[in-house]
Amino acid sequence: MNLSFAESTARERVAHLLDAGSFHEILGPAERVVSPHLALLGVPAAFDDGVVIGQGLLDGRVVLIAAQEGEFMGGGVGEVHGAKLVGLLQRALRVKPAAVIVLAESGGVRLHEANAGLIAVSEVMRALLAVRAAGIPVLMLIGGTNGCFGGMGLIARCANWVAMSDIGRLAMSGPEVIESANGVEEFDSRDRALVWRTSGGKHRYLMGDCDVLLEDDVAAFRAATLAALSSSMPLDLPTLQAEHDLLSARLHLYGDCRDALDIWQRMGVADPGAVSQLEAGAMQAVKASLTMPSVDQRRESVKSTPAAAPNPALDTLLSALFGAAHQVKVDDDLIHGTAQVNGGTVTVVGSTHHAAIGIELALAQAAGVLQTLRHHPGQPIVLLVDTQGQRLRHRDELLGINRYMAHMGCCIALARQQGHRVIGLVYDQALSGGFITSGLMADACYALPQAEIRVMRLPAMARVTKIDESRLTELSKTNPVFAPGVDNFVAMGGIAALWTGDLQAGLIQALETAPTQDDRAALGAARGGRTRAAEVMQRVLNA
Amino acid sequence: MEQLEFKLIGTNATVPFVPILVGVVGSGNLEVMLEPQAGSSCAVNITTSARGFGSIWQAVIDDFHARHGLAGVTVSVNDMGATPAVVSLRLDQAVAALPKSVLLVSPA
Repeated sequence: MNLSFAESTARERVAHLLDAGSFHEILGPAERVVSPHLALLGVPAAFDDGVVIGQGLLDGRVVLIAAQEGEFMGGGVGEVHGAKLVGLLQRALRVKPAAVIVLAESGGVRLHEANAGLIAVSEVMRALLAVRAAGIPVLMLIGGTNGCFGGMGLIARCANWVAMSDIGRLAMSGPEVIESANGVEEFDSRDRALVWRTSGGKHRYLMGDCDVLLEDDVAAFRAATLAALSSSMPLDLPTLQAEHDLLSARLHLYGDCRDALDIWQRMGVADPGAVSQLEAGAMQAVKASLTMPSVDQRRESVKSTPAAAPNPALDTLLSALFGAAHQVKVDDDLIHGTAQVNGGTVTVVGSTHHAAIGIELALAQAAGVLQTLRHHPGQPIVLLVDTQGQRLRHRDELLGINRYMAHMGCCIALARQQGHRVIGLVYDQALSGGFITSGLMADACYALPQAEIRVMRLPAMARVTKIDESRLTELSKTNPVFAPGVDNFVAMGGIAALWTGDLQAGLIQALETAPTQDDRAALGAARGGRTRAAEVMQRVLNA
Repeated sequence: MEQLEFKLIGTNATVPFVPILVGVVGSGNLEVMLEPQAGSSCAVNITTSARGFGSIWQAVIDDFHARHGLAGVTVSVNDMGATPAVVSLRLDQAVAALPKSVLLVSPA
């Protein structure tokens, strides 16, 4: 009899995916490495903080594995949960397993400890990409009923290889979030058929956002994972350039499509309306039959650039950072160009007007980073952050915005690995997902004192968590873990320092001193704002 | 949220065992962990999202203890509003997951 992947708990999935009896858990439930934050908000903890990690065998080969429990806080990434994932990935560099396998089921950042979760997601991305760079495959398995969203959607698209079942969903923003932001006409979250053909396994498979589509059966996931063990995909310039070309082509080919059915038709699916009824096995034949429209692979997405609105605040900032003679341009929401700092040239990439990061903007920012990698080896990169977060549109999700944003994150990680210094500066607003794949991926991210950094405002957080707003307000006075505010991100180590006074001097110093290793967890511990993450990572490493 | 502690004296002694975890801290669900402890008591430590159900927990735990009478065990519970029936089910599931050799008297 088949064992349903979706119906199994995280623990059951791990036990049945690996060779029988081979799993050794690290920081198991009896160690009680629980969230220190949930009790304050009146929520019971879980003994494993919703993620099972450890080592085991897959057909006799050593693998490291993590499985998120989607039923606990929606699989949300909090401080401890995230630190367990980071610790496991760091451990991979030491153990050198055949692969790191992640069974992802998560709504993304856990709102109850949102600031810690946001930073943790970027830490996981950086740790994961370091594992990939070391030639160890990272394999992502998505088949839980809660899907893989938000920060985990970004993390998933940093992996080498993604497997999904039809039940699984992979996206950035959930349909409820998009509906509440832009109305039911934008995305009807109760239309299950629409939800699944926008983010479900079949659409992702046809788009190439997952490598295999599987039946909802743990044995099928095991067999596919086993087959993927040798699939190494290095993190290098040709790989990311190919990814960039693919994403450019996708935008060019399908950017005007209103629905997955339109995309499938254009791809050459003979009967798009019948796709929802097909078994996973039959989908292979559909995919094999596709006659992808051809496109000039080198063509960058064409973007009309309306005359930039005057932006005196940004002009002042650019002058303060780079002096009067910089070559930084503003096209719509995109900041790009070069400038001279301390006698050397730096690349400048960023966004303005509180930009919503949509697929075009994510791609344009990635292009700026890639171009620097190609033509100016070693040239430092400065990321100027002003974003209201990812764009909350059905179209962005349809085209896989999590992949576009993850691509930007991967480009920054590659830049670092190839010796470019990457400095982030939050000069205005930095919210949720838009911050993860920009400033939080830098070697170090700084902020201006008046900057606004948050995941969610307290009233919205109160609605989602069903915790009284007055209680949240009271707690936020002493606890930096969930409330908006740049000082909280400093305390947690996500922001290295605030820049006051001479901004250029701050930038010069950052370019000279910013660490290339991710030391933010240690920084958060030293500053008392994030007391557990560094310790948990170390314990996983030493276990 | 509320924390409750019960301490019962059992007769069904156990030998040391690897901790057992069943269930998930999800809506209407709970996780139960069994761990060995020295002595003849059965300690039950409960964290529950709901307040004011102490007497019902007392009854559920009394029933559980009447069924198994475990000695030398700590039972730890994280509960997210499970009904008494679900709680009883998970407690029995945890005991059933103990290796047979651990218990003096195997559950019926």
